[in-house]
Amino acid sequence: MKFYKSVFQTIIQTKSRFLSIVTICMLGAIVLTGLLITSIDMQKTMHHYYQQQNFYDIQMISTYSFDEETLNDIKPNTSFIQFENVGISNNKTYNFRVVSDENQYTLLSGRLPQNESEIVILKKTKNHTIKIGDTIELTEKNSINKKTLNTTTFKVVGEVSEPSYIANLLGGTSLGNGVLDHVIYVSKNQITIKNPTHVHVSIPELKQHNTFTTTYEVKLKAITNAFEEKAIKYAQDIENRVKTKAIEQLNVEKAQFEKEKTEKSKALLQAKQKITNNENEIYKKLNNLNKQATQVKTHLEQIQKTLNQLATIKVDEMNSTQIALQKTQLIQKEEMLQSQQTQIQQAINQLDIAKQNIAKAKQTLLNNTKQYEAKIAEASKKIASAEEEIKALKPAKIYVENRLKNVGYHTFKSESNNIKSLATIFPLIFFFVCVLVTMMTMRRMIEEEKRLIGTLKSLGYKNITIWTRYIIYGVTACLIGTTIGVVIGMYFIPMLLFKTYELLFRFPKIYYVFDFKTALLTLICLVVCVATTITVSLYKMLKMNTATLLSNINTTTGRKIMLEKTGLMWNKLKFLTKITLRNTFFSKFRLIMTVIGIGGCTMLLLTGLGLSHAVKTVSNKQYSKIHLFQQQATYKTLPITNEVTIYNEIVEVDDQYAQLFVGDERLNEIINFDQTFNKDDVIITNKIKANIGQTIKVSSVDKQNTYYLKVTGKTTNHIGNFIYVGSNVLQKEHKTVLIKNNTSPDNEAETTIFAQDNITRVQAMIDSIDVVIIVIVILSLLLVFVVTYNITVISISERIKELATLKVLGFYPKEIYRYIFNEVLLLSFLGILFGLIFGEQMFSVVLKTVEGANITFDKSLPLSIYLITFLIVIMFTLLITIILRRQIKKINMLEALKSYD
Amino acid sequence: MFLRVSNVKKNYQLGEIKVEAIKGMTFDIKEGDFVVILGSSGAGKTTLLNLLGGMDTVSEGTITLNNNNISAYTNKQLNDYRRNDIGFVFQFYNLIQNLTVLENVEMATQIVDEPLDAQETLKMVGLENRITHFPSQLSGGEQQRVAIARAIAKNPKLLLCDEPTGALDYQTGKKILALLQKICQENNKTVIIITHNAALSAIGNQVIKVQDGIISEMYYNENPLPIDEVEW
Ligand SMILES: Nc1ncnc2c1ncn2[C@@H]1O[C@H](COP(=O)(O)OP(=O)(O)O)[C@@H](O)[C@H]1O
Ligand SMILES: [Mg+2]
Repeated sequence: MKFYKSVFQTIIQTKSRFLSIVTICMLGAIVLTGLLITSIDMQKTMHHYYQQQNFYDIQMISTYSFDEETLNDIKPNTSFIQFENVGISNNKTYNFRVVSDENQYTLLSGRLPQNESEIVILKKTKNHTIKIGDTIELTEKNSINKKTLNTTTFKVVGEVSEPSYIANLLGGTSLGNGVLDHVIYVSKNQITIKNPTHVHVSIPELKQHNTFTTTYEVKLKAITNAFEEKAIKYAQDIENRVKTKAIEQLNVEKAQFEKEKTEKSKALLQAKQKITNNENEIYKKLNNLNKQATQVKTHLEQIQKTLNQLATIKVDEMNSTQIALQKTQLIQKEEMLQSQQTQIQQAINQLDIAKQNIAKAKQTLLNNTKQYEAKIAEASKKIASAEEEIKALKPAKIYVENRLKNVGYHTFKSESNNIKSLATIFPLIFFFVCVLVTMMTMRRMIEEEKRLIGTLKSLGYKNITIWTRYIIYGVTACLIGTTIGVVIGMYFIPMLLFKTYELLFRFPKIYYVFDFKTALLTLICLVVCVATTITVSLYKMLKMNTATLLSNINTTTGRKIMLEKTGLMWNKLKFLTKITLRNTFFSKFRLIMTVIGIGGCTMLLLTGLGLSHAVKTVSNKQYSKIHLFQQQATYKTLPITNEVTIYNEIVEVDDQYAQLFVGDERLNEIINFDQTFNKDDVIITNKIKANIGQTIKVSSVDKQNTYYLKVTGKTTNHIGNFIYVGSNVLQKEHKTVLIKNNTSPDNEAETTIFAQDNITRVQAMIDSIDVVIIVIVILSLLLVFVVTYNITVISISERIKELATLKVLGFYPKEIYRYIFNEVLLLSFLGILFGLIFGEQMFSVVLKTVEGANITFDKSLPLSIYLITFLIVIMFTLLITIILRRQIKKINMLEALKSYD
Repeated sequence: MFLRVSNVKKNYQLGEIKVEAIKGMTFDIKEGDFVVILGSSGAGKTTLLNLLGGMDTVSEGTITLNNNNISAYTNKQLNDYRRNDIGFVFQFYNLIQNLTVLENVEMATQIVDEPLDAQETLKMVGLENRITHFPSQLSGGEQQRVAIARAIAKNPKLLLCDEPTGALDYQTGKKILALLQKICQENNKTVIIITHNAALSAIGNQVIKVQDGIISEMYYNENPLPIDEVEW
């Protein structure tokens, strides 16, 4: 028991060494677990959020709206209308995505809309340009090219989140500068499109897989393919139904038209008949009347004649009465006939009116007929055009996009994978250095206690018991350090990184994962290394006999180093320099350990600073060294300009996006190619996966155009992917102007893309990488500190007797510092040199892993980074030598007189 | 008087316990003498020598060398004192392992104003053929001779030797003592050696016997014997 108690006393007595082992183990554990766990935490957190929000696996977009039948068959989670629209708020123009309120969202602040002119807006993690209470005025510019909204002015009343948009970057649009600024949710009743354009589908069987795993990806891809096949059928069906409906409608219209036509013509015919009949009757009547009139006239003439005859007859008595009677009779008859004649005349007159009426009716009939003919012509024209329209209907298209294409999902995935890739090589080297230094420290401890070991042995302690002493010491330190480190690593580091990632992504509550496997592995690794060091060092010592251990015979031997065997100047060196050189190169073990230890730290620091530099300068490199234009303005018809013009299109090559530039030699003025660009060239940027000589299939994003291009060259590019095609290869009308100066944008242009916007876009990624880098740099600095401290302490402890002797001999403190610190500085210098040389390799390896598909960092490290790294490590070493002066001052001279080494 | 020690006391405080290593000593030493301090283990010899060599400070009393009050020196003054006035020979030689014999001596001569020639000194201790060797390549006696050379090459006023033969065999020990005697006589250096070997009292001009922190006996030999004539 006493024995074990003494171990803990030793721990207390040598607390600075114990603490340094604890610290180093802690740092190692923090870095190893912290960086490893952060990406796991991030992905788990987002996975749970997606699960909980029932985020879509498949999204389908239809160029025709989805109809009832298709929706019944797909059974989507949600279906809604979506399009993009340019709008103005606070006197600034933004590109809005308008989503019908059928889509689900979660209210974060404000309230839900209460009437149809109120809307909610997607809350962004930064750039809150539109706030609750603001109004948005949507213009007529939209992605559908027809009127889509009943009202255009909306008031924002709430902010919401939706799993489709977890990243601050919302994605691209065909409008304006191509960047989507905001998403708003508008009442369905305000949208003139009636059927949904978008549907979201969740696949139950995918739920069991973490959404960021390859299993998920593979399964989802298979399902996507199945959906794509179905989509073709759906599209066909929708198209057929639309056509059938249109044809049916047309047929109904046609039938009605025919019916109306026959009815109308019949009516006209009847009317005509009636007129003719009437006319005939009138003529008939007229004839009769004329006949009657003639008869009456004849009668009247006869009466007149008779009357005249009567006048000639002599009037006598006898006949006078008869004549008078006759006369009276005749006059009566004449009067009757005369009235008859008047009646006939009246009838004739009436008939004349009827005749006039008929003429009128005839005119009306003529007009009606004319109208009828015009109507028929019009209707048949209409029918013909409807028929034409049906014939001309564009084929329906349904695009299937899976979760992998969601902007939020894939930026998040690539960001978390960036951390993951940083979390492999970097922590390993870090951890390796930690293990190394811990090993050195333990080894030194055993060497220091050589005499104690001898004593214990001579007292009859078993080797295993002595071994236990050091194992307890070492393992306790490892355990404490690793435990603290694991806790900090598993909670603090993710918390810290999450805090900064919150600017880029909308995070739900953090889902901390305690990764027992990693924690245990870290611990086992440290313990095994320490235990091995202890065992090996102790074994060497225990092999010696007790007397040797206790004796003062110095087991170290002075030796000449290479330099003095070759160099002539050796004798001219001061003893301090000599001793520094000899001491430095004397113990190979220590030399190698120190060089690797400090070298490792230097590598880490160089990598960290280098990454930070590469990441920060990438946009500058792109827009001042490669692409020399500030604006990219696209017109309906190209204005007259002196600037370089191109044809420009966004295309897909395999699964990569790229910009297609078709232009001539003038491109050389504005783009720096690795080789001169010719009219016959097809030059691709370095990140496009194709070789020179290969033919690539390039299709526009809307899948309207497909080109097959034979690659003639590759060129360096930093941001984005480009395919530069000579005008001899593709004949395209130039519609885009590449503007060299940053003038104010031309309002005539349909779209203008600014270099500045692109910089903002990559800035997000750059910011997030930078966060991790800062953590890495800070941890590296800590490591540099602890490692140089430990190495210096070990150096001092190894030379404590020499230092005491020097003191007795009357050396001044300054000379003694130099004696020891020159060595430390030289070792440090060698370590830094080693670190700078190999750090570049590490830097380029790590850089590659964080690049991703669209960004190429410049792999060259400027001298200043080397210099800064060098200075930092040297400064740290100097700082430590200053701190440790006290320790040297404290060395008791009487130490020198003690009998043992 | 060359060296004067008067009423010197030295206490060590070990936690609660106060150890009185030297309980009060007074004596004088003449320049050029060969002084033997004799006493059994734990008597306080080393403590006394440390005080004389400026490695430790007295608790009470004064030490003067050539009328300079050493016991009142500051740390800086003590440092200069050790550097210029004292030559120290350790029981375990304390050579720098990574320096050759010559370099070990030169290291000391580099720091003083009027050193002796390093090579000459080594010749004097009889190691002129070993100057390029490292300490580990030498025997114990040879190493001690290097240590003596290192001490005297500084040309100190006082040469202090703490059990210089403690780690050596009889014959070698004798040779070392002879060397020290020779240095004392030929270079007229004041030499103080510590030993627990009573037989050595015969070789000193002055003998100080120490026991339990006080001087138990002190006397002068009119005719000190050369070491060759002493047997033990
Ligand atoms: N640094 C010290 N701290 C405490 N006690 C000491 C110290 N140095 C010596 N002593 C004590 O003083 C006494 C005299 O010791 P020392 O002078 O070494 O005797 P020696 O005559 O054997 O050289 C001893 O009892 C020793 O324990
Ligand atoms: Mg002693």
